[in-house]
Amino acid sequence: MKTPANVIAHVRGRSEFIDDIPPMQGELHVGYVGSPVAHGDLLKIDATEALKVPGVKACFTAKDLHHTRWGTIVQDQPLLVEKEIGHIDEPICILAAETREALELARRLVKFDIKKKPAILTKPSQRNRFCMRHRLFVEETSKKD
Amino acid sequence: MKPRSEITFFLNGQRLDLRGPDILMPVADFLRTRRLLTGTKIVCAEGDCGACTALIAYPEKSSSKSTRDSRYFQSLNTCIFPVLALDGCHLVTVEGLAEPGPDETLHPVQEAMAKCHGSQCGFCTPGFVCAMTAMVEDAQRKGNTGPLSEKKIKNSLTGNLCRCTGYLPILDAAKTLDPKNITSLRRRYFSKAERETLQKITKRTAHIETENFLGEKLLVLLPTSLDEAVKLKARHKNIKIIAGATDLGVQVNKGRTKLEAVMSLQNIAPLWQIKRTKTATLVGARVSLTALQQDLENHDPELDRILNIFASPQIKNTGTLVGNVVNGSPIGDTIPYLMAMDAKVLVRSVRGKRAIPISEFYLGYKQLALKPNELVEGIEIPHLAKTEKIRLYKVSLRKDLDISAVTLAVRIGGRKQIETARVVFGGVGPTVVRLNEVEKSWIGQSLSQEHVETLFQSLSRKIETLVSPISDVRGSREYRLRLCRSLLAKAGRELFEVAP
Repeated sequence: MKTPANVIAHVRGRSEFIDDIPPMQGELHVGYVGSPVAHGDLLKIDATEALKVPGVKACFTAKDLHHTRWGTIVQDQPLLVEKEIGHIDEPICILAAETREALELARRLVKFDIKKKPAILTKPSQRNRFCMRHRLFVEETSKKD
Repeated sequence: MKPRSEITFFLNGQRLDLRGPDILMPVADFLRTRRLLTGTKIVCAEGDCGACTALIAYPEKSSSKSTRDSRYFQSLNTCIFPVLALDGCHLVTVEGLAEPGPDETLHPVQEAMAKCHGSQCGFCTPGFVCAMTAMVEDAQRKGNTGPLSEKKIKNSLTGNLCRCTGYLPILDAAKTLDPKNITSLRRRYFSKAERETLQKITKRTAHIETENFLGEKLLVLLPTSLDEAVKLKARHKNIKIIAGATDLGVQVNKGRTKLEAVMSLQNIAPLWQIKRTKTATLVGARVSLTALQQDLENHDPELDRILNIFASPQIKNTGTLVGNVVNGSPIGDTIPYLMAMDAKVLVRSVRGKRAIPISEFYLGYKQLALKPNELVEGIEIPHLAKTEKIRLYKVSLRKDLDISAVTLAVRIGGRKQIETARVVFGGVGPTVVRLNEVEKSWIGQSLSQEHVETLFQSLSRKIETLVSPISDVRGSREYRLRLCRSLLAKAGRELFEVAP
């Protein structure tokens, strides 16, 4: 078997993965802040303190990115939480900053007001009911709650 | 002598002098963002996956007792190692392994990994290449010739994870290597002149004041003597003291702590020593777990066995015994052993020295019997008497490299009757627990195998009245109690067997 050319780059540490691309002049670093709870209603996002960090440029929420919906089968999942949180660490807002240090610090300063609801963990019957009620996945049956 | 205001080290043969806030960054971040050496990868950022592995050689040793060795490169996890701790060292990354020049000849390890198809997506590859190079360097240091055994290879690569190729082609690559046919990195890096330059530099204390991007003051101190270190500790009570920084590095990456004022003990030569007296072994604060393991190999096979599953080579090469002790975790793997051995924590301050018995060192969860002006200079471990036996146990979800659920150390000794008894549990309360009352009640009883087994069995039946484990991710209270019972039964039987 012949050695593929890219393997030589791999063993040298020269292969360029996404995070290895040298930064461009003026490039901003972005990162998301995820939900601390598995299930709940998002009432308010407060990024005031985060935006005060030197070098932090912007905070984007679902209102800014409302047109971005995704999903493998049905594209109905918002990129950022609009109202209901569906899983732990679900992205709620995105911060942009001049340096990674500023970004990391700012990420810890965003505050959320969340009405926590019980997490749905294992029981399939409950999950089905939840999914159907919220129309989050493809419906399997037409049975009503 | 006037203190220096920068740190100095070599990176792939190039000298660097740094004085800004970058010296508090993790080495992996520094390499990737400041030097654009992106071959070093970051995945877990907590020293588990090995993608960030690079090679380090320490400054010249100053005495024969020192465990510091500048002549051989060892692996380390750069994701949790702060740049300041490179002072006086030589770091070689994956980019520095191939021979420079127009041909750029691959290092034999790189050649083997490519030929044996040990790389697929390539993300873990630089880490594996560096860990395997460290394995070769280690074999050369010990004078091993011929291909390495599979066991040795596996033990050398426990600190690296691959999630696509599978380990077989990687192990195949390692098996083709013969250390005696490979040019050691020391023939290419860290020349005598470079070592002497750094030795001279690190004889001067480094005192670096700088600030981060928020304008907050940062302080880095690298004293050269213990007297100086205790004076600095008295002046800066909240300063974080580091040796290998394997725990602190994780806390920083998780956002649980910030490095603002740091004192590293690496340039204090006596702290790298292991001394053996007639009655005890003295382990200095900067002695790595690897050095300790090598020293104890024939001296204490039980501790050697636990250290084998304790952590990866990368962690053991930088982490220290004293670090494990002062971290104060109730599941610190060496603490039950040290308590069973009646070890003493050697403490020093501007007011003098004292030795605290380790069973009195923990006041509560991660609370130590240390005064704010004190620092730990070493651990004194008395020798095991010929009439004594010790057994150590560690149970974790995974056998190797995992955080323990429960640990147990037992020591029994005497001639016909029990004269010494120690039963120490970890993972069953806010601190490691020694069962003093039980130990006392055993003194004077028969040391026959049969009777000792009975003692352990009866202790096993009432263990829930003596320890109070909590339920967490590593095990429920019930599971932990069951482990305690089983381990006691096992210990009672195995004490009289030859060590496994």
